[in-house]
Amino acid sequence: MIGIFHYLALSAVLFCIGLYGVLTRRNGIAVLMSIELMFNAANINFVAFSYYFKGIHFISGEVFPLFVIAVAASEAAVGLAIILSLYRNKKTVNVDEANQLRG
Amino acid sequence: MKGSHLIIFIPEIAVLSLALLLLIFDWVTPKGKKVWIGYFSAVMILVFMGGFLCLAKNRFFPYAASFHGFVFDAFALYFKELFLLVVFLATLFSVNFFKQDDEGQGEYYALLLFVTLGCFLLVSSADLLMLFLSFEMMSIPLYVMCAYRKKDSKSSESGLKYFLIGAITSALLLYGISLVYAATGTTNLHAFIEGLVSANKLAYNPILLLGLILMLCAFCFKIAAVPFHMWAPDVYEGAPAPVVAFLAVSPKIAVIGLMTRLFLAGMQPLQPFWVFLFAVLAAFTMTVGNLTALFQQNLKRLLAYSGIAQIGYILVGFASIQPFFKNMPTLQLGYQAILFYLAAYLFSDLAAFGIVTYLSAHGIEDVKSLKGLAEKNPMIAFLFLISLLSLAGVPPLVGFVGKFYLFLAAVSSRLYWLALLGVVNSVISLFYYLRVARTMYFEKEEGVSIPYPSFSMQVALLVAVLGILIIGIYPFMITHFSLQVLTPLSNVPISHVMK
Amino acid sequence: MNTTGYILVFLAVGILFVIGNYFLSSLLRPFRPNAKKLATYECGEEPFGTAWVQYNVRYYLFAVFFVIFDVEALFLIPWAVVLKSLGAFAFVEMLIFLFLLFIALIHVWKKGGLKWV
Repeated sequence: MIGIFHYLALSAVLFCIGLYGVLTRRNGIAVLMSIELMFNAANINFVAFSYYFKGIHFISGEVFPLFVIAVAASEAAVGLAIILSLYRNKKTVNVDEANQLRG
Repeated sequence: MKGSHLIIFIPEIAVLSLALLLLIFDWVTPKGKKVWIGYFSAVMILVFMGGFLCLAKNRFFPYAASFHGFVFDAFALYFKELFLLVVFLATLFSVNFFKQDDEGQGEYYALLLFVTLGCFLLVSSADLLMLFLSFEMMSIPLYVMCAYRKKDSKSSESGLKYFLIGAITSALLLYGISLVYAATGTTNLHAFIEGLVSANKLAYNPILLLGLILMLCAFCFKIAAVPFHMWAPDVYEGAPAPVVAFLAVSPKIAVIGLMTRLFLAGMQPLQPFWVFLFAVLAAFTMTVGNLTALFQQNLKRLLAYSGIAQIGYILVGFASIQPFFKNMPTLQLGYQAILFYLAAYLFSDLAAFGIVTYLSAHGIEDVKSLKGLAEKNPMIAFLFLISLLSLAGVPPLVGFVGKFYLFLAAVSSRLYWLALLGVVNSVISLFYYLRVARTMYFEKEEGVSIPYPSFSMQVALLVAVLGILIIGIYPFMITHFSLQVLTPLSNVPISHVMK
Repeated sequence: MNTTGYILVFLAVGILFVIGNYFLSSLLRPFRPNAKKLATYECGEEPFGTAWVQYNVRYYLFAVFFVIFDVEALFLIPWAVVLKSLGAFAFVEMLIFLFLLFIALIHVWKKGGLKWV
């Protein structure tokens, strides 16, 4: 039987994969995708627990992912635009080649 | 009637409408005249500042009201006035800075206001959903503003770095919120607080603790507290100077405000955990910020590390909440000091960044190139000296009073070591602030003099420096207000604790 | 059998149906390959280069606009479902939301974002 802790474990694994991706990938677009993974890990928590509670406040758990999707989309849009502007200036989308600013 | 609740949203509606109006002006204004959009925005912000104060005095206006995850109270109003002040000064800084590359000016001022709107909502939020959304509303326009100079690869890089850090921060915050929701079953802060207070065993739920720690990490990223501060100098160095002035103040104040609301009202049952945590955070943040600032050559990087140290002083306030004597109501002393120090930080940092903006528009970004500034431009050198001394905490300037209150709060909660460390840090910080002053005053260099600052910059610098002096000499106008603001906030949960 | 079981059976039948049909047609069809027939199908165009080309930057720009304006449907659909029970206030609220998006759209247009340069 799949219980609530399975969902919790799934989301934790997804979050860690996303975090690992953010910390290790060089390509800016790939980093963006990893961040989406982290957002969706949280979404899994919300949906799973809103089903689990079914109490008075369960609705916020169902509404939360909707807003998160919208926010993630706008964040991805801004991120893509910034990566594009970096590409126009430096002809690269690699995060570690953006290294002009060092103390 | 649902419509009648709209009255408590008046500040937000006003700022949003102004932002939209600026966008529309941007479409219809011809290319050379876009400076006027900035002036119009600044004037309107001033009008709003006065208007909100009158609103607070109006007896028909609910002084404390809430509506589905949104609270309007004196605490929020105090912060909203601070944000308006920041955006006013930042707008005036920007007016002549972006004149050279005249692209999308109206857009830029609208973005400033969108960030301000996010800050408004953040200090008013009483629901985790509202908290997350306003956090994003505050962050996303700032990514764009950091990368605002499209042709400058440093600016793009700064934008990218801030975006990546910001996105990770949002993800941490969101995951933390989801865990808190999982542990408590609610996203409403009041319900969540009641739950924490009534069921003490909930407080030691590991999922809840992990969620709270993740949220705290996210806040620390935004305010650049020490293990999470590495982004600040890089982002500050690359971004356009007026953007940095704004970025270094508004979001930090907003997040500190939110933390004050959370910890003062809600986290009483978990107190043993976070008092020590904040003391350690504060100690590291002050020390690392000040020690690293000693070696900086670039003015923006110097101010970045100085800003990190300032946040360290503010965190002292969060740690100092245990009363010295059992029956003395010193609980609010730490928070009162935080509220005061935020105002002090606002004026001092904005004055310093205003001058950095002015210098950066004339190509001066290093400490070395400040040589002989006192002869070429004595007024600017003097104003810079005042703002730096206020940041260092020299009497009679506002920074001194702020630090005095903070360390007093630390002493009164028996955190003697923290207060001592704070004083030592202030002495260390004098070294690098005075190094800048020495370069300006005692190192001579022949060279072309810099043109005098524009009218808007003069007004902005005057406001900031007058703030430093007046509040430094009469601090009571703010301390009195901050006590009034804090009392209602702390009342509800404390009575719960005593039961 | 619960709902999940039905979905599993449906999936299995669907997959088996496709595989079975491929197998059947491979039994029945003639097999006479040549270079033209083995080439990648590109809707009648001559294929050239690899499939892994870098897309023009302009596509990204339009993708960004699409993503932003597409997400509004996320709020519109739940709103439309319960509009009747929410009444006039919710209607006005959504109009304000759409008005904000409309301003954004005009801004994009005025700034030349919709032009195919």
